[in-house]
Amino acid sequence: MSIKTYSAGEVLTAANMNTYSANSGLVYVTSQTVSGTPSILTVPDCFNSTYDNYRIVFERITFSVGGYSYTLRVGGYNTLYYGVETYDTSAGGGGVTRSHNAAALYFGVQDSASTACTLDVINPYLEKSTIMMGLSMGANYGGWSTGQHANAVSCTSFSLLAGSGTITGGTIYVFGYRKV
Amino acid sequence: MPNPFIQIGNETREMTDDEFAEYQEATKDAKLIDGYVPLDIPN
Repeated sequence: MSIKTYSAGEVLTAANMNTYSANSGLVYVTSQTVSGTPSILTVPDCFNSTYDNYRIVFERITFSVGGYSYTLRVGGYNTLYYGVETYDTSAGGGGVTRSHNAAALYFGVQDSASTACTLDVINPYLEKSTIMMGLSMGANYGGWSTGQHANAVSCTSFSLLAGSGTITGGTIYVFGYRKV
Repeated sequence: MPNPFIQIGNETREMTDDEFAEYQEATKDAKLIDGYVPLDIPN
């Protein structure tokens, strides 16, 4: 769909504004708020043919235990994850956690407060490898991570797994990048 | 001891034994990171 443009002095009708809204670049798909104290949080049916690429936002996810790396999975698959998680802390001492043909992708460090992450997910629904890359932070660390599920399968869901303990709060938002 | 919980959509339930085994495999290399210091900050 082409980008809607307007001329100077033109009246913006409801139809125009509806078209403008439909032309937005990032479109809300779904959200999932933590309920209870799960160690795995799965957002089902969040990937489909409407979008090829997605932005996922972890808003203030909290964990019962801090300082451990959490992991991500797509489609419930538990093999063929490859990637690199890097981190540093305000107290010094950072490092790297690698995933090599792993059962999930190590992606960020969890904390009891202020754990947040934004990541882009490329082609989860298409029968191609799913690529993930993003930024994460917790109470006293920051990091970036990249990785992929190197399996040419179609995935409709996304999961966050606590590296230790449980997930105690927060919300995950899923947005789709509008196709041109 | 019961298995940990899994939340799928709005449903939270105990993991099956297979799900718990997969969870343990997926997090087996998680370790306390160097330099981690718990901070008392508001969420």
